[in-house]
Amino acid sequence: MITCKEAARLLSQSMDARLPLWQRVRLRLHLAICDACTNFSRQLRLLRGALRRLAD
Amino acid sequence: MPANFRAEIEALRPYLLRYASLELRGREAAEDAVQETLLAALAAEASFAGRSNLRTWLTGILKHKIVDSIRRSSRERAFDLDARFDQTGHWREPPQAWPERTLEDKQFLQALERCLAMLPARTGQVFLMREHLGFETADICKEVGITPTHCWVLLYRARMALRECLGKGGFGR
Repeated sequence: MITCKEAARLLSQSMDARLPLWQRVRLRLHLAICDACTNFSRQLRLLRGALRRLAD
Repeated sequence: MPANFRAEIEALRPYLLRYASLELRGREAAEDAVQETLLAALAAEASFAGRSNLRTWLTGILKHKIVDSIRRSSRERAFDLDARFDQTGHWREPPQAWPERTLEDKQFLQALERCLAMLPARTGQVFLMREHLGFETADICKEVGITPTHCWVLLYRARMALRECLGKGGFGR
């Protein structure tokens, strides 16, 4: 099982590159049981959405 | 420089150290702030010139050094990603759900612009190339002249710093 520390790094990286399958699986398993990292993941996507919106 | 000015200042060192220790975490940070204060005082002896009381004057300098020190350490913290997690890899301050409709919120977008402006130059540049302009990381690396790994670290730092900056702005951790 990966830690939050590793999950957070992978979540950020997954915004920029396609992760290898095994890392995606480990991340998915972690997110299934971790609210904090799930929130972190949503925040990253929200930041992206907001940045795109700043363009207008 | 008269030797007695140096001696008078030096005599106040324990007082200053107690003062700094109340404001700063860590003995080393307090000692550094006091050392910087004494050096600044020696350099500025002329501007003291019997004005007010020596202890008051030194304390005034020390306050500025303390503020500098706090600023420095919070800046360092902002970019030390490992500091967010304890030894077992858990979040020290677990992220919370941000409110729904955050994207419709003008205040959120304004806060975001303010937070973006606070990122170090290159971190901000790389982050905006990625998220605002939508470049691929490979192109950013080439353009900025950094390795892909460095690029990912900068992007990760930028995201972490931004969500925390927004959190301080009242949008939730």
